[in-house]
Amino acid sequence: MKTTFKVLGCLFIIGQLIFIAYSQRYGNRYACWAPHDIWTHYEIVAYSNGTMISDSQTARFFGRKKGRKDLPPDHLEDWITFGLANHTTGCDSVVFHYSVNLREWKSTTLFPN
Amino acid sequence: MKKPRLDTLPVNFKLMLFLLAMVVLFKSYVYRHDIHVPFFSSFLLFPWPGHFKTIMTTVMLVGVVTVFTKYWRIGCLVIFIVLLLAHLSCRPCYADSRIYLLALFVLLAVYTKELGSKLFQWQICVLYLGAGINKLLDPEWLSGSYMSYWLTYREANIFSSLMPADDLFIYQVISYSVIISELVMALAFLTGRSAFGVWLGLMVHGTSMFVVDGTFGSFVPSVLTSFLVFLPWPSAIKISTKYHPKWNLARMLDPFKFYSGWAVESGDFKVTINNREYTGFRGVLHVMAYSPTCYFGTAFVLLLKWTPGYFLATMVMVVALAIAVDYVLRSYKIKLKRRT
Repeated sequence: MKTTFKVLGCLFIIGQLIFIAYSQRYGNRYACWAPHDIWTHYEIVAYSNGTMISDSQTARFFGRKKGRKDLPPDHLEDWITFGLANHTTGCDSVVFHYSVNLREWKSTTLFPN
Repeated sequence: MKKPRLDTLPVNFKLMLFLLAMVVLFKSYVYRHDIHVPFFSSFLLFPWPGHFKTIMTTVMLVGVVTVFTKYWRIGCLVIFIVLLLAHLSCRPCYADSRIYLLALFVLLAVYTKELGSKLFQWQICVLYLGAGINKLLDPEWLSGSYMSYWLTYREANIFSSLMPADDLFIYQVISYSVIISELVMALAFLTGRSAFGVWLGLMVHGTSMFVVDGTFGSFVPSVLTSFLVFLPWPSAIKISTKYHPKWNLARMLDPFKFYSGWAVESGDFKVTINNREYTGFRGVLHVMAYSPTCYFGTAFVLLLKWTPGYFLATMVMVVALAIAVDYVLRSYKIKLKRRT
Protein backbone atom coordinates (compact mmCIF):
# COMPACT_ATOMS: atom_id res chain seq x y z
CA MET A 1 0.00 0.00 0.00
CA LYS A 2 2.78 2.41 0.95
CA THR A 3 4.54 1.77 -2.37
CA THR A 4 1.29 2.49 -4.21
CA PHE A 5 0.95 5.78 -2.33
CA LYS A 6 4.53 6.75 -3.19
CA VAL A 7 4.06 5.87 -6.86
CA LEU A 8 0.76 7.79 -7.03
CA GLY A 9 2.33 10.85 -5.41
CA CYS A 10 5.30 10.80 -7.80
CA LEU A 11 3.01 10.29 -10.82
CA PHE A 12 0.94 13.29 -9.72
CA ILE A 13 4.06 15.49 -9.73
CA ILE A 14 5.34 14.09 -13.05
CA GLY A 15 1.88 14.62 -14.59
CA GLN A 16 2.08 18.31 -13.73
CA LEU A 17 5.49 18.60 -15.41
CA ILE A 18 3.99 17.05 -18.56
CA PHE A 19 1.08 19.53 -18.42
CA ILE A 20 3.52 22.47 -18.09
CA ALA A 21 5.48 21.27 -21.15
CA TYR A 22 2.23 20.66 -23.08
CA SER A 23 0.76 24.07 -22.25
CA GLN A 24 3.95 25.85 -23.33
CA ARG A 25 3.97 23.88 -26.60
CA TYR A 26 0.27 24.29 -27.45
CA GLY A 27 -0.45 27.43 -25.44
CA ASN A 28 -3.74 26.49 -23.77
CA ARG A 29 -2.54 27.44 -20.26
CA TYR A 30 -4.63 24.87 -18.39
CA ALA A 31 -2.95 23.05 -15.47
CA CYS A 32 0.38 24.84 -15.98
CA TRP A 33 0.33 26.99 -12.83
CA ALA A 34 0.10 30.20 -14.83
CA PRO A 35 -3.30 30.90 -16.35
CA HIS A 36 -3.70 34.18 -14.49
CA ASP A 37 -0.59 35.99 -15.71
CA ILE A 38 -2.69 37.82 -18.26
CA TRP A 39 -5.84 39.98 -18.25
CA THR A 40 -8.37 40.00 -21.07
CA HIS A 41 -10.98 42.71 -21.55
CA TYR A 42 -13.69 41.41 -23.88
CA GLU A 43 -17.04 41.96 -25.52
CA ILE A 44 -19.18 39.33 -27.22
CA VAL A 45 -21.36 40.51 -30.10
CA ALA A 46 -23.84 37.93 -31.41
CA TYR A 47 -26.50 38.35 -34.10
CA SER A 48 -29.62 36.30 -34.73
CA ASN A 49 -31.55 36.93 -37.99
CA GLY A 50 -29.54 40.09 -38.49
CA THR A 51 -30.47 41.53 -35.05
CA MET A 52 -28.07 41.74 -32.13
CA ILE A 53 -29.22 39.39 -29.36
CA SER A 54 -29.94 40.88 -25.94
CA ASP A 55 -27.39 41.05 -23.12
CA SER A 56 -29.35 38.51 -21.10
CA GLN A 57 -29.42 36.04 -24.00
CA THR A 58 -25.68 36.52 -24.55
CA ALA A 59 -25.12 35.89 -20.86
CA ARG A 60 -27.23 32.73 -20.97
CA PHE A 61 -25.35 31.20 -23.91
CA PHE A 62 -21.79 32.51 -23.59
CA GLY A 63 -21.39 34.31 -20.27
CA ARG A 64 -21.38 38.03 -19.56
CA LYS A 65 -21.59 40.19 -22.72
CA LYS A 66 -18.57 42.25 -21.70
CA GLY A 67 -16.11 42.27 -18.86
CA ARG A 68 -12.56 41.38 -17.89
CA LYS A 69 -10.98 38.17 -16.71
CA ASP A 70 -7.53 37.19 -15.48
CA LEU A 71 -7.39 34.54 -18.18
CA PRO A 72 -5.98 34.33 -21.72
CA PRO A 73 -8.42 35.08 -24.61
CA ASP A 74 -8.24 31.41 -25.70
CA HIS A 75 -10.04 30.37 -22.50
CA LEU A 76 -12.87 32.83 -23.13
CA GLU A 77 -13.10 31.70 -26.76
CA ASP A 78 -13.37 28.11 -25.48
CA TRP A 79 -16.47 29.05 -23.45
CA ILE A 80 -18.16 30.65 -26.46
CA THR A 81 -17.28 27.75 -28.76
CA PHE A 82 -18.67 25.35 -26.15
CA GLY A 83 -21.88 27.40 -25.90
CA LEU A 84 -22.29 27.34 -29.68
CA ALA A 85 -21.71 23.59 -29.84
CA ASN A 86 -23.98 22.62 -26.97
CA HIS A 87 -26.85 25.15 -26.91
CA THR A 88 -29.41 26.00 -29.56
CA THR A 89 -28.50 29.65 -29.74
CA GLY A 90 -30.02 30.48 -33.13
CA CYS A 91 -27.10 32.84 -33.76
CA ASP A 92 -25.94 33.42 -37.29
CA SER A 93 -22.87 35.43 -36.29
CA VAL A 94 -20.73 35.62 -33.15
CA VAL A 95 -17.79 38.01 -32.95
CA PHE A 96 -15.39 38.12 -30.01
CA HIS A 97 -13.66 41.46 -29.39
CA TYR A 98 -10.81 41.42 -26.91
CA SER A 99 -7.83 43.33 -25.61
CA VAL A 100 -4.93 41.74 -23.73
CA ASN A 101 -3.73 43.82 -20.77
CA LEU A 102 -5.74 46.75 -22.17
CA ARG A 103 -3.54 47.14 -25.24
CA GLU A 104 -4.88 47.17 -28.82
CA TRP A 105 -8.31 45.63 -29.42
CA LYS A 106 -8.63 42.62 -31.73
CA SER A 107 -11.64 40.75 -33.13
CA THR A 108 -12.22 37.11 -33.95
CA THR A 109 -15.28 35.76 -35.73
CA LEU A 110 -16.15 32.57 -33.90
CA PHE A 111 -19.27 31.78 -35.91
CA PRO A 112 -19.52 31.17 -38.79
CA ASN A 113 -15.85 30.23 -38.87
CA MET B 1 -1.90 -4.05 6.95
CA LYS B 2 -1.86 -1.41 9.67
CA LYS B 3 -4.81 0.95 9.49
CA PRO B 4 -3.78 4.52 8.67
CA ARG B 5 -4.58 6.70 11.66
CA LEU B 6 -4.51 10.41 12.27
CA ASP B 7 -1.61 10.13 14.69
CA THR B 8 0.63 8.85 11.91
CA LEU B 9 0.76 12.43 10.63
CA PRO B 10 3.47 14.59 12.26
CA VAL B 11 2.19 17.63 14.19
CA ASN B 12 3.06 20.14 11.45
CA PHE B 13 1.29 18.06 8.77
CA LYS B 14 -1.75 17.62 11.00
CA LEU B 15 -1.87 21.37 11.57
CA MET B 16 -1.56 21.96 7.84
CA LEU B 17 -4.41 19.54 7.12
CA PHE B 18 -6.74 21.25 9.59
CA LEU B 19 -5.87 24.71 8.25
CA LEU B 20 -6.55 23.54 4.68
CA ALA B 21 -9.92 22.12 5.78
CA MET B 22 -10.62 25.57 7.20
CA VAL B 23 -9.77 27.16 3.83
CA VAL B 24 -12.20 24.76 2.08
CA LEU B 25 -14.96 25.62 4.56
CA PHE B 26 -14.47 29.37 4.30
CA LYS B 27 -14.13 29.52 0.53
CA SER B 28 -17.09 27.20 -0.21
CA TYR B 29 -15.32 25.44 -3.02
CA VAL B 30 -18.22 23.98 -4.90
CA TYR B 31 -18.35 26.47 -7.65
CA ARG B 32 -20.98 28.55 -9.28
CA HIS B 33 -20.73 30.65 -12.41
CA ASP B 34 -23.16 32.52 -14.60
CA ILE B 35 -22.76 30.00 -17.44
CA HIS B 36 -22.54 26.23 -17.42
CA VAL B 37 -19.42 25.36 -19.40
CA PRO B 38 -17.85 22.11 -18.22
CA PHE B 39 -14.59 20.68 -19.58
CA PHE B 40 -16.52 17.68 -20.93
CA SER B 41 -20.01 17.87 -22.41
CA SER B 42 -21.01 14.73 -20.46
CA PHE B 43 -21.27 17.01 -17.41
CA LEU B 44 -24.23 18.74 -19.08
CA LEU B 45 -26.29 15.70 -18.02
CA PHE B 46 -26.25 17.04 -14.46
CA PRO B 47 -28.81 19.75 -13.71
CA TRP B 48 -27.05 23.09 -13.12
CA PRO B 49 -27.24 24.90 -10.83
CA GLY B 50 -29.21 22.48 -8.74
CA HIS B 51 -28.92 18.94 -7.49
CA PHE B 52 -25.32 18.50 -8.67
CA LYS B 53 -24.11 21.47 -6.63
CA THR B 54 -26.14 20.42 -3.57
CA ILE B 55 -24.78 16.86 -3.69
CA MET B 56 -21.21 18.10 -4.17
CA THR B 57 -21.50 20.56 -1.27
CA THR B 58 -22.84 17.83 1.02
CA VAL B 59 -20.09 15.39 0.06
CA MET B 60 -17.50 18.14 0.51
CA LEU B 61 -18.76 18.85 4.03
CA VAL B 62 -18.63 15.13 4.84
CA GLY B 63 -15.02 15.13 3.59
CA VAL B 64 -14.11 18.12 5.76
CA VAL B 65 -15.63 16.50 8.85
CA THR B 66 -13.86 13.20 8.08
CA VAL B 67 -10.51 15.01 8.00
CA PHE B 68 -10.86 15.60 11.77
CA THR B 69 -11.32 11.89 12.49
CA LYS B 70 -8.97 8.90 12.34
CA TYR B 71 -10.13 8.41 8.72
CA TRP B 72 -8.44 11.64 7.65
CA ARG B 73 -6.94 9.95 4.58
CA ILE B 74 -10.41 9.13 3.25
CA GLY B 75 -11.49 12.71 4.05
CA CYS B 76 -8.59 14.06 1.97
CA LEU B 77 -9.50 11.74 -0.90
CA VAL B 78 -13.17 12.82 -0.76
CA ILE B 79 -12.23 16.52 -0.83
CA PHE B 80 -9.84 15.86 -3.72
CA ILE B 81 -12.55 14.06 -5.73
CA VAL B 82 -15.12 16.80 -5.08
CA LEU B 83 -12.63 19.53 -6.05
CA LEU B 84 -11.70 17.60 -9.21
CA LEU B 85 -15.34 17.05 -10.25
CA ALA B 86 -16.19 20.67 -9.45
CA HIS B 87 -13.37 21.80 -11.75
CA LEU B 88 -14.25 19.43 -14.56
CA SER B 89 -17.86 20.58 -14.42
CA CYS B 90 -17.05 24.31 -14.54
CA ARG B 91 -14.43 25.56 -16.99
CA PRO B 92 -14.80 29.26 -16.01
CA CYS B 93 -14.15 28.30 -12.39
CA TYR B 94 -10.64 27.08 -13.21
CA ALA B 95 -8.21 28.85 -10.90
CA ASP B 96 -4.69 28.14 -9.66
CA SER B 97 -5.71 28.76 -6.06
CA ARG B 98 -8.25 25.91 -6.18
CA ILE B 99 -5.98 23.58 -8.15
CA TYR B 100 -3.23 24.09 -5.58
CA LEU B 101 -5.65 23.22 -2.80
CA LEU B 102 -6.64 20.08 -4.74
CA ALA B 103 -2.95 19.14 -5.14
CA LEU B 104 -2.27 19.51 -1.41
CA PHE B 105 -5.21 17.27 -0.51
CA VAL B 106 -4.13 14.54 -2.94
CA LEU B 107 -0.58 14.65 -1.55
CA LEU B 108 -1.90 14.43 2.01
CA ALA B 109 -4.07 11.47 1.00
CA VAL B 110 -0.97 9.57 -0.19
CA TYR B 111 1.28 10.72 2.67
CA THR B 112 3.93 8.21 3.76
CA LYS B 113 6.52 8.60 6.49
CA GLU B 114 9.34 7.65 4.12
CA LEU B 115 8.66 10.38 1.58
CA GLY B 116 7.54 12.82 4.31
CA SER B 117 7.84 16.38 3.11
CA LYS B 118 9.61 15.37 -0.16
CA LEU B 119 6.42 15.24 -2.22
CA PHE B 120 5.34 18.65 -0.95
CA GLN B 121 8.81 20.00 -1.64
CA TRP B 122 8.54 18.80 -5.27
CA GLN B 123 4.99 20.10 -5.53
CA ILE B 124 6.02 23.60 -4.48
CA CYS B 125 8.99 23.37 -6.86
CA VAL B 126 6.65 22.47 -9.77
CA LEU B 127 4.31 25.33 -8.82
CA TYR B 128 7.03 27.97 -9.03
CA LEU B 129 8.70 26.34 -12.02
CA GLY B 130 5.46 26.45 -14.05
CA ALA B 131 4.71 30.02 -13.01
CA GLY B 132 8.29 31.19 -13.61
CA ILE B 133 8.70 29.54 -17.04
CA ASN B 134 5.38 30.92 -18.24
CA LYS B 135 6.28 34.46 -17.26
CA LEU B 136 9.77 34.09 -18.76
CA LEU B 137 8.29 33.08 -22.13
CA ASP B 138 5.60 35.78 -22.12
CA PRO B 139 6.62 38.94 -24.09
CA GLU B 140 4.03 40.99 -22.13
CA TRP B 141 5.89 40.14 -18.92
CA LEU B 142 9.35 40.74 -20.35
CA SER B 143 8.39 44.16 -21.72
CA GLY B 144 6.76 45.17 -18.43
CA SER B 145 3.38 45.76 -20.15
CA TYR B 146 1.54 43.31 -17.94
CA MET B 147 2.98 44.74 -14.73
CA SER B 148 2.20 48.28 -15.89
CA TYR B 149 -1.44 47.32 -16.55
CA TRP B 150 -1.74 45.32 -13.34
CA LEU B 151 -0.23 47.87 -10.97
CA THR B 152 -1.68 51.05 -12.44
CA TYR B 153 -5.09 49.88 -13.64
CA ARG B 154 -6.20 46.51 -12.28
CA GLU B 155 -4.81 46.83 -8.79
CA ALA B 156 -4.99 50.61 -8.62
CA ASN B 157 -4.20 51.67 -5.07
CA ILE B 158 -2.21 54.22 -3.11
CA PHE B 159 1.01 53.06 -4.81
CA SER B 160 -0.38 53.52 -8.32
CA SER B 161 -0.14 57.30 -8.14
CA LEU B 162 3.55 56.97 -7.29
CA MET B 163 4.28 54.82 -10.34
CA PRO B 164 5.25 56.38 -13.71
CA ALA B 165 2.54 56.02 -16.34
CA ASP B 166 4.69 55.87 -19.49
CA ASP B 167 8.12 54.61 -18.52
CA LEU B 168 8.08 50.82 -18.62
CA PHE B 169 11.57 50.42 -17.11
CA ILE B 170 10.42 50.23 -13.49
CA TYR B 171 7.72 47.70 -14.45
CA GLN B 172 10.32 45.65 -16.28
CA VAL B 173 12.48 45.61 -13.15
CA ILE B 174 9.50 44.42 -11.06
CA SER B 175 8.59 41.78 -13.66
CA TYR B 176 12.15 40.42 -13.80
CA SER B 177 12.32 40.39 -9.98
CA VAL B 178 9.17 38.25 -9.84
CA ILE B 179 10.41 35.89 -12.59
CA ILE B 180 13.85 35.47 -11.02
CA SER B 181 12.35 34.97 -7.54
CA GLU B 182 10.01 32.25 -8.78
CA LEU B 183 12.72 30.40 -10.68
CA VAL B 184 15.14 30.68 -7.73
CA MET B 185 12.42 29.33 -5.42
CA ALA B 186 11.86 26.38 -7.78
CA LEU B 187 15.60 25.69 -7.75
CA ALA B 188 15.81 26.04 -3.96
CA PHE B 189 13.00 23.54 -3.36
CA LEU B 190 14.41 21.17 -6.01
CA THR B 191 17.87 21.14 -4.43
CA GLY B 192 16.58 20.77 -0.86
CA ARG B 193 17.34 24.34 0.24
CA SER B 194 13.76 24.57 1.46
CA ALA B 195 14.45 27.05 4.26
CA PHE B 196 15.77 29.59 1.76
CA GLY B 197 12.82 28.80 -0.56
CA VAL B 198 10.34 29.40 2.26
CA TRP B 199 12.03 32.66 3.21
CA LEU B 200 11.96 33.93 -0.39
CA GLY B 201 8.36 32.70 -0.82
CA LEU B 202 7.25 34.62 2.24
CA MET B 203 8.95 37.75 0.97
CA VAL B 204 7.36 37.49 -2.50
CA HIS B 205 3.85 36.62 -1.29
CA GLY B 206 4.04 39.09 1.60
CA THR B 207 4.98 41.90 -0.79
CA SER B 208 2.26 41.01 -3.31
CA MET B 209 -0.34 40.87 -0.52
CA PHE B 210 0.80 44.27 0.68
CA VAL B 211 0.60 45.77 -2.83
CA VAL B 212 -2.81 44.39 -3.80
CA ASP B 213 -4.26 44.45 -0.27
CA GLY B 214 -5.61 40.95 -0.75
CA THR B 215 -4.76 37.26 -0.62
CA PHE B 216 -5.49 36.17 -4.23
CA GLY B 217 -8.44 34.09 -3.03
CA SER B 218 -7.20 31.03 -1.22
CA PHE B 219 -3.85 31.00 -3.01
CA VAL B 220 -1.66 32.81 -0.48
CA PRO B 221 -3.26 31.12 2.59
CA SER B 222 -2.79 27.71 0.90
CA VAL B 223 0.83 28.35 -0.11
CA LEU B 224 1.75 29.70 3.33
CA THR B 225 0.01 26.72 4.95
CA SER B 226 1.94 24.28 2.77
CA PHE B 227 5.21 25.82 4.02
CA LEU B 228 4.36 24.23 7.40
CA VAL B 229 5.73 20.90 6.15
CA PHE B 230 9.22 22.42 6.50
CA LEU B 231 8.68 23.34 10.17
CA PRO B 232 9.64 20.22 12.15
CA TRP B 233 8.01 20.22 15.56
CA PRO B 234 10.36 19.93 18.55
CA SER B 235 10.12 16.97 20.89
CA ALA B 236 9.55 19.22 23.92
CA ILE B 237 8.74 22.88 24.59
CA LYS B 238 9.15 24.22 28.12
CA ILE B 239 7.93 27.70 28.96
CA SER B 240 8.91 29.45 32.17
CA THR B 241 6.80 32.50 32.85
CA LYS B 242 5.11 34.43 35.62
CA TYR B 243 1.43 33.76 35.05
CA HIS B 244 -1.69 33.27 37.06
CA PRO B 245 -2.10 29.57 37.87
CA LYS B 246 -5.75 29.82 36.78
CA TRP B 247 -4.63 30.32 33.19
CA ASN B 248 -3.94 27.12 31.39
CA LEU B 249 -1.23 28.47 29.12
CA ALA B 250 -0.63 25.23 27.23
CA ARG B 251 -4.36 25.02 26.48
CA MET B 252 -4.41 28.61 25.27
CA LEU B 253 -1.51 28.02 22.91
CA ASP B 254 -2.87 24.72 21.67
CA PRO B 255 -6.65 24.46 22.30
CA PHE B 256 -7.13 21.38 20.09
CA LYS B 257 -4.23 19.51 21.72
CA PHE B 258 -2.19 18.94 18.59
CA TYR B 259 0.91 18.55 20.65
CA SER B 260 1.41 16.97 24.04
CA GLY B 261 4.98 18.15 24.64
CA TRP B 262 4.08 21.46 26.35
CA ALA B 263 5.48 22.07 29.82
CA VAL B 264 4.73 25.29 31.69
CA GLU B 265 6.35 26.36 34.94
CA SER B 266 6.40 29.54 36.99
CA GLY B 267 9.51 31.72 36.80
CA ASP B 268 11.23 34.39 34.71
CA PHE B 269 10.27 34.27 31.05
CA LYS B 270 12.31 31.67 29.20
CA VAL B 271 11.48 29.19 26.45
CA THR B 272 13.40 25.93 26.20
CA ILE B 273 13.10 24.06 22.91
CA ASN B 274 15.12 20.89 22.42
CA ASN B 275 17.51 21.99 25.20
CA ARG B 276 18.09 25.43 23.62
CA GLU B 277 16.97 28.47 25.59
CA TYR B 278 15.35 31.60 24.18
CA THR B 279 14.42 34.73 26.12
CA GLY B 280 12.79 38.09 25.39
CA PHE B 281 11.37 38.76 21.91
CA ARG B 282 13.04 35.65 20.46
CA GLY B 283 11.30 33.59 23.13
CA VAL B 284 7.91 35.10 22.25
CA LEU B 285 8.56 34.42 18.56
CA HIS B 286 9.36 30.79 19.26
CA VAL B 287 6.24 30.30 21.40
CA MET B 288 4.16 31.79 18.57
CA ALA B 289 5.90 29.70 15.91
CA TYR B 290 4.87 26.49 17.66
CA SER B 291 1.43 27.66 18.81
CA PRO B 292 -1.45 26.27 16.71
CA THR B 293 -3.65 29.08 18.11
CA CYS B 294 -1.47 31.60 16.30
CA TYR B 295 -1.94 29.80 12.96
CA PHE B 296 -5.68 29.23 13.39
CA GLY B 297 -6.17 32.84 14.47
CA THR B 298 -4.21 34.17 11.50
CA ALA B 299 -6.00 31.89 9.03
CA PHE B 300 -9.41 32.72 10.52
CA VAL B 301 -9.01 36.48 10.19
CA LEU B 302 -7.20 36.23 6.86
CA LEU B 303 -9.99 34.20 5.31
CA LEU B 304 -12.64 36.72 6.33
CA LYS B 305 -12.51 38.93 3.27
CA TRP B 306 -13.01 42.71 3.44
CA THR B 307 -14.19 42.94 7.00
CA PRO B 308 -13.07 45.42 9.64
CA GLY B 309 -10.81 42.63 10.83
CA TYR B 310 -8.81 42.73 7.63
CA PHE B 311 -6.43 45.34 8.98
CA LEU B 312 -5.92 43.20 12.06
CA ALA B 313 -5.36 40.18 9.81
CA THR B 314 -2.63 41.98 7.94
CA MET B 315 -0.96 42.88 11.23
CA VAL B 316 -1.16 39.29 12.45
CA MET B 317 0.19 38.17 9.09
CA VAL B 318 3.19 40.44 9.51
CA VAL B 319 3.91 38.91 12.92
CA ALA B 320 3.52 35.41 11.45
CA LEU B 321 5.93 36.35 8.67
CA ALA B 322 8.42 37.64 11.23
CA ILE B 323 8.25 34.34 13.10
CA ALA B 324 8.68 32.32 9.96
CA VAL B 325 11.55 34.47 8.71
CA ASP B 326 13.24 34.14 12.08
CA TYR B 327 12.81 30.38 11.98
CA VAL B 328 13.97 29.81 8.43
CA LEU B 329 16.97 32.08 8.81
CA ARG B 330 17.95 30.25 11.96
CA SER B 331 17.55 26.82 10.38
CA TYR B 332 19.41 27.97 7.27
CA LYS B 333 22.35 29.07 9.41
CA ILE B 334 22.31 25.74 11.22
CA LYS B 335 22.29 23.94 7.88
CA LEU B 336 25.24 25.95 6.62
CA LYS B 337 27.19 25.32 9.82
CA ARG B 338 26.56 21.58 9.53
CA ARG B 339 27.84 21.54 5.96
CA THR B 340 31.02 23.33 6.81
